[in-house]
Amino acid sequence: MLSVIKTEPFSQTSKIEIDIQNLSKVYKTKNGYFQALDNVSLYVKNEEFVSIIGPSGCGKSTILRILAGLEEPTSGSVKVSGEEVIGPSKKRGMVFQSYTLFPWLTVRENIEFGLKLKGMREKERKEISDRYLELVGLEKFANSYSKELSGGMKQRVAIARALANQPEVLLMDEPFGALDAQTKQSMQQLLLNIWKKEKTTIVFITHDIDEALFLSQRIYVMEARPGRIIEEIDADLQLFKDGELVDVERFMKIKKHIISLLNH
Amino acid sequence: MEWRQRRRNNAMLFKIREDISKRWYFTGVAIAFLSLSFVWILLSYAKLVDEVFLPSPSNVIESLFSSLLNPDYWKEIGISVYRVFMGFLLACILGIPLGILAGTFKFAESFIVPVSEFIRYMPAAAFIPLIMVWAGIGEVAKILVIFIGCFFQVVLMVADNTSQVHKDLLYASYTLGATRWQVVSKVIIPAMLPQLMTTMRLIMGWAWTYLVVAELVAANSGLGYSIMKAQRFLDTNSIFVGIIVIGLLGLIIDRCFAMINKKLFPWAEGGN
Repeated sequence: MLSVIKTEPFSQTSKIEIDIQNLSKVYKTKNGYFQALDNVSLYVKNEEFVSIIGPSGCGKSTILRILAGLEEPTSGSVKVSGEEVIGPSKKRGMVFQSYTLFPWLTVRENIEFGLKLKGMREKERKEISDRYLELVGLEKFANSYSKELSGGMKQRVAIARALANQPEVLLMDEPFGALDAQTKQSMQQLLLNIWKKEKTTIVFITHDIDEALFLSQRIYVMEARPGRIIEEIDADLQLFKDGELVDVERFMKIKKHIISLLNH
Repeated sequence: MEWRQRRRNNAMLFKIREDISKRWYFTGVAIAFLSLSFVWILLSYAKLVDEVFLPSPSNVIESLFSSLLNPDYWKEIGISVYRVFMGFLLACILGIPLGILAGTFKFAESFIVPVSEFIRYMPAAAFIPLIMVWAGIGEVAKILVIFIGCFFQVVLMVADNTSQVHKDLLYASYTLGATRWQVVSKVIIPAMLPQLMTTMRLIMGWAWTYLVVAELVAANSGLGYSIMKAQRFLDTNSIFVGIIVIGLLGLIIDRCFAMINKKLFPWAEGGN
């Protein structure tokens, strides 16, 4: 038996931010019905970093899109800070795998987009965008357009744009999936620093085991057809220190375990 | 060594969709125009074709200048430009909002697109007799021909431009707190503007075509009419002049569109 695997909440100190109960999603297709999600229940606590990992087609992105309010559940309940999710809201910021910067706006205007919708004054907007430009290290590109940025920079702007809105939770749908290995690594470190500084609750979708182990405190492992959660793994184990892997043995043990879960 | 370099340069010119230097590009443009003129010069000065059918370049240039120096000819140009712009503007003012609606809401699409597709295939020129019955042969009739020719194209092309806006952009704006109206006004419309300008540029070309159709059939003024009149007197010189003037006007307007596009949308991928 692996000691790291737990089935009940391992700490009761902070409050539950996201609470999903018996969530199912069925799509109608040409030849009948497709069960994308089957009775998924999960929770995420306040200020927690949770990853959902699984093979493609397991419905992990669907969970996130339902959380964001972009899709409706077929059955089950989805609550964020005690409120049932009924549609998209600025309380739940999202970063997508595809680059979703508004190409007609500069980096700064992109970050200020949500603030402007709120009707915030220019001076306040600028203060906030200055702060987030600094947070993601793009001060020098404040006036650049999307087409002048690299993939990694675009995702940094997307993160800054979502965070500038002060969301209760940040939903990330394989945000580094399209980046090269090196950029990916530096983005993971950056995200971890941001999370520690901003104390945002983050739900992170990935199919990369290393990425999930490096970033998250807890990992939900999913299987496909139908999509369901098969295990919950505690990953808050000081495996890394200053971005370096220090507990290789334990890391490998958990990684092997997740691989066997995904391949079963 | 040198021949290898040269071979590489030659191969560069025929790489699929790769850029070539500006110098080579303009060389290509120059060659095309020169060979066109050469064929013309050869055919007319060698008397291979009768002057009635193909006037000589010098004659055409001479009557081009005499026409352009004649204030009456500018009146013809003026009236034609007026008709084109009125028909074009009318088609845009009504067609663009409908196209945006159709590209945004599926229900609006079901209302607008199939009907437009149906009418689009009816040739605008075939409407001319009907328009003459409805609106006589005044200015309204000509503008109406251009309008009918352009309007349904505008609707369908703008609907397509609108639906090209990536859905993830819309989702992203929802999660940033945008309302449905804000998604349309702050995301869909700004995102599609460069494509919209390209559509308008193409439609402008259509507008000129329908202008000439309208003026050939039912007019007593304008460039199309002057071409028509010249034909009655076998004045091929003037026909050539009319065609060239329309071509030049089209070229000037097209270049203006391209310039405005570059100025207004420096952020667009691909630059222009």
